[in-house]
Formats: sequence, C-alpha cells, structure tokens
Amino acid sequence: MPSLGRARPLLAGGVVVALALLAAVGAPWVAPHDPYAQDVGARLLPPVWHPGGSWERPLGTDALGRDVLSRIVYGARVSVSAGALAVVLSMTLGVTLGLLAGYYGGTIDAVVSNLVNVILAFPFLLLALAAVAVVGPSFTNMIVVLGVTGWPVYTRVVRAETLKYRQLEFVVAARALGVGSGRILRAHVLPNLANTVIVMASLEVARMIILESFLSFLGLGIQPPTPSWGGMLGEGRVYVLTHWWLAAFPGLAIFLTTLGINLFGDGLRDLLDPHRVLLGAARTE
Amino acid sequence: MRAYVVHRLLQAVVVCLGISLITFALLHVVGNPVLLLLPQDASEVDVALLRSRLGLDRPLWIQYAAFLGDAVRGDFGRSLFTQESALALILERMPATLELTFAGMLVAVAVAIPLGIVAAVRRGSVTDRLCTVGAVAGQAMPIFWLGIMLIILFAVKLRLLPASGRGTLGHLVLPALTLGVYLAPLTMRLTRSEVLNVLTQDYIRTARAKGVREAVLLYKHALRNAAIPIVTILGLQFGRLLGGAVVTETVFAWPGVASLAVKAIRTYDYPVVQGAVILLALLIVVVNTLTDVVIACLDPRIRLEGGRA
Repeated sequence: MPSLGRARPLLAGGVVVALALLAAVGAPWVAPHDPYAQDVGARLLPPVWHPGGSWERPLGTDALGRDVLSRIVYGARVSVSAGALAVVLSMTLGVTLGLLAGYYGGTIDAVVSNLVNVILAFPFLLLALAAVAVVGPSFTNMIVVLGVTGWPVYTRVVRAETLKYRQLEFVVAARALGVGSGRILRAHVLPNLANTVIVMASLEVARMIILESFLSFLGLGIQPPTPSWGGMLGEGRVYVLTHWWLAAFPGLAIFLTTLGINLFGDGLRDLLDPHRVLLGAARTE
Repeated sequence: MRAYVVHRLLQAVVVCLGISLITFALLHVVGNPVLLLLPQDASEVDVALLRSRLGLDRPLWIQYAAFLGDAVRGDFGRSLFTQESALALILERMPATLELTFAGMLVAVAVAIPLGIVAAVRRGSVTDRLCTVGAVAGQAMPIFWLGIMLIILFAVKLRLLPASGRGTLGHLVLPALTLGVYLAPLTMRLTRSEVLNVLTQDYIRTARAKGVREAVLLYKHALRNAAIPIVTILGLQFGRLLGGAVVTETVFAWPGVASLAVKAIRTYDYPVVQGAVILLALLIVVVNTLTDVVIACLDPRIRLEGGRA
C-alpha cells in the first residue's frame, strides 16, 4: 500500500473530479440561478469582491445578464460528458485495433500501424477542426470527431503490450488447449492491460475536455445558448478590455478540472503500477 | 545504415499518401463541397452544373488521382474567396508560423532542460518537487485561456506588450511564452527521467568510484548520453508544437498558416483548408523523419538494430 504522502495527489485529484461530477449531475440543485435567464437590467455585473458586486451573483453576470456562476455549474455537464464520451469511444476503438494488430500481426498489423502513423502525423487539432466544420458543429458530431481522431494513443500502447503477452506461457498454453482467439484476447490478454488502459483513459479525459473547450471556444463545438466553458470563454474574450472576469472564470474551471483529472490519473498510475513510467511523447494535438 | 534510412523514407511516403487520402476523403466523401459553395435554395440544375464544372461528377478514385497529381505539383487549387493560389497563400504565411514555433521551442528548451537536469540531479529535493508541481499544472493548462490571461495582464492592465499581431520582437513575447508553457512540462519531465536514467547506469557509478569529480561526471558522462533521447523528444514533439501553434495563432491573431487554416475552416474555403492541413502534416513528417535519421547517424545502436525501441 502506498503511504498517505504518495496518495495525496490521488486524493486531491479525486476531490476535484468529484466536485466536477457533482456540479454536472446536480446542476439544477447546485446552481443559484437559471443559467438561461436573461436580465437586461443586470448586464455585466462584476464579481462579489469588486465594487458593485453582490452575493446575489457571486461571479457576476454576462453581456445578457445571465448568472456566470450558474452557467459555469451547468457548463460542467458539457465538459464532463464530452470528455467521458469521447474517451469511451476512442478507447474502445483504440484498444480493439491494438489487440487485433498485436495479436494477429501480418496485414492487419501493417494496416493499423500505418494508420496510426498517419493520424499521429496530422496536426490533430486541425484535423478535428476540419472534420467538425465538414460534418457541422453539434455535441454528437464533436464527440464522434474527437473519438475517431483520438484512438491511436491507445492502439500504440495496447499493440506493443499484446505483442509481448502473445508470447507468454499462459497465452501459449491457452492456445494449445484449443481456446479461441476471441476468448484469449478477452479473458487472458485484456485483463492484463486493464491498468495501463485505465490510467491512459483517465489522463485522456483531461485532454478531451481541453479540446472540446477549444472547439466550443472557436464556435465549432457546443452552440449557444447552451452553457459550455469553452463557449463562455469565447464570448468573454470580447470583453477583456473592460470585464476581464468573463474570460477568467470559465477558463479557471477548465484548468482546475483538467488539473484534478491529471492528478487523479497520475496518482492512479502510481497506485496501480509504481514501476511503470508511461511516456506520452510525440503526441500530435 | 542505408537500409534503415531507405526503410524510414518509404514509411514517410506511406504516411504522406495516407495523409492525402484522409484529407481528400474528409472533404469530398464526408463533406460535400458543392453544398458548401452554393446558397441553400440553389436548384438541382445549379448543383449539377457546379458539380461537373468542379469535376465532382467523375468517379471518386479518378478525382483522388487528379487531386494527388495536383498536390504533388503543389497545386491545391484557388481560394474560393480571393481566387489566389492556395499554395501561395499558405507559403506567404509559413515564415510567421515557423518563427512562432521556433520561438516557442526556444522558450520551452531554455526553461525545461535546465530545470529537468536540476530536478534529476537533486532528486527528491524541494526544487525537484516544485518542478514536478509546475509540470503537472502546466500540462493541465488550457493554453488558449493562458494566452487570454497573459493578454489581460500584460497588454490590458500593465500595457507592456501588444495584445495581437506580428511585427516587432514585442509582438512575439506573449505568443512564444504561451507556446513555451505548452511544450515545457512534457520536455521537463522527459529530460528529468532521461538524466535520472543515465545517472543510475553502471558506468557512472564506475566513474564516480574512480574519483571523477561530480561536475565532470555530470557534464562529460551523463549529459552527453542523455542528449540523444532529449533531442529525439524535441524532434518528435514538433507535431505537438504545431498543434499548440494552432491555438496560439488563433488567440493572438498571429498571421501564420494555422490561423489561416482556422479562418478557412470557418468560411468553408476548402482548397485552403486542404492545402494547409496537408502542408503542415508534411512538415511534421519531414521533421520526424529527419529526427530519426539524424539520431540513427549519431547512435550506432539504432541503425544496427533497425528501429527505435
């Protein structure tokens, strides 16, 4: 068991992740106001510590008089669900292809490995942007684009690990006993990869949240009036000269959430496999 | 050695073909250029007319062959809005992108490599812990937000630096800093782990046992051996760097290829999108291939084994 000192990042990250989940699930109860309710008389109110701010609207209001805190709480829904769904999709794709390429080798491996090289050579962000522009901006399209472009990270690692396990005695023995390939992969190889994949996936959630926010920031992701952190940051950017907090708070929400997820993921890695150093070098984003 | 280089170049060609195929498929099979070009109430006759004028009524593989043939000659078509050659538009903006990426990498290297070395040498110290905390925070940073915060602080509040555009050295500071923060955390962590790795090798212990001074040990024995993996990491991060440039150029209205591409994506100017995506991807392939070949020249273990582990 790791000592408490080593588990500290895991705990800190876990608390932040739990808070983000709480905000996402419990938004209607947590948020002080309706995130869509406009109030023309209370436009661009400053946060509470500024002269003119009040506890009624702790983080102030935006250009349409909507409560910023409530919109940030609701924005957690978009970010958390987008990050989680995109990761589920890319992980499923990536792990499946990695298992097949590593286990069967030959043509499958050649095709998959080359595809991985091609996708990793793309400026990932431009690829995702172009894809979203082609299929049209919507929540579903964004998830599909992030999922379909994000899988090679898993494939590279899973393929290498599968190659290794394929030659180990317990797999060879299972094969000699006549166990089918599908069952070998599911029952003997996959469980051994689970820790690695879980750690990668938890760190990827953070990356996907940042990508989702950037797409929404550019207007290619979540469409207004749905509150999303990236979208709010994009709207707030117009007011940096006069009302800096409109851009500051949603970005802070993104930063704290991804920081929490990264701490959690790093902590998880230390907990599950203290010897392994996962190197995510050469990722194209 | 020659076999390795040939193998690596062939691989690069395959990747380039794949890049052209995906870009083509994205814009012509998933998307429909005709519908993007015509107003929504266009008649079917208009649609058919434009399709044949653009050659989009031919079989897909013929279209792809034509597209590939043009692309190889550097012809990506003309911008739908300015009628300028897409290649010319992109090349005109390339120096700005290279300037920004170079400056960003310089910032990252200047910060990350010394810190990574110090953190490794003084493992477990307060400095090491601070570096790790900084790296974790930096990796979680959405750099488009960081860029905006830097603009608010240095351009709006302190009025020290310009908020956007390109021209003087002052214009370069904030974008380069933003890009540097994006690249530095991973570079620092990997430098630290490479130096640590070298410092635990037998030959270092032997040298230390012989009474070699610590400074000589570090500079002559350890850093020289850690240099190869560190250079590899930097070369292979070029793709990430360009990805970061997309974000940085957008936030600071930096007139580079990436901001051109983002603008073209928003206006559905697909010849420009196509050209920019392909050229940036090619640049990544060239840098990655060069990195591998240069490393192979420096490190006999790689060229003899025929690949990087």
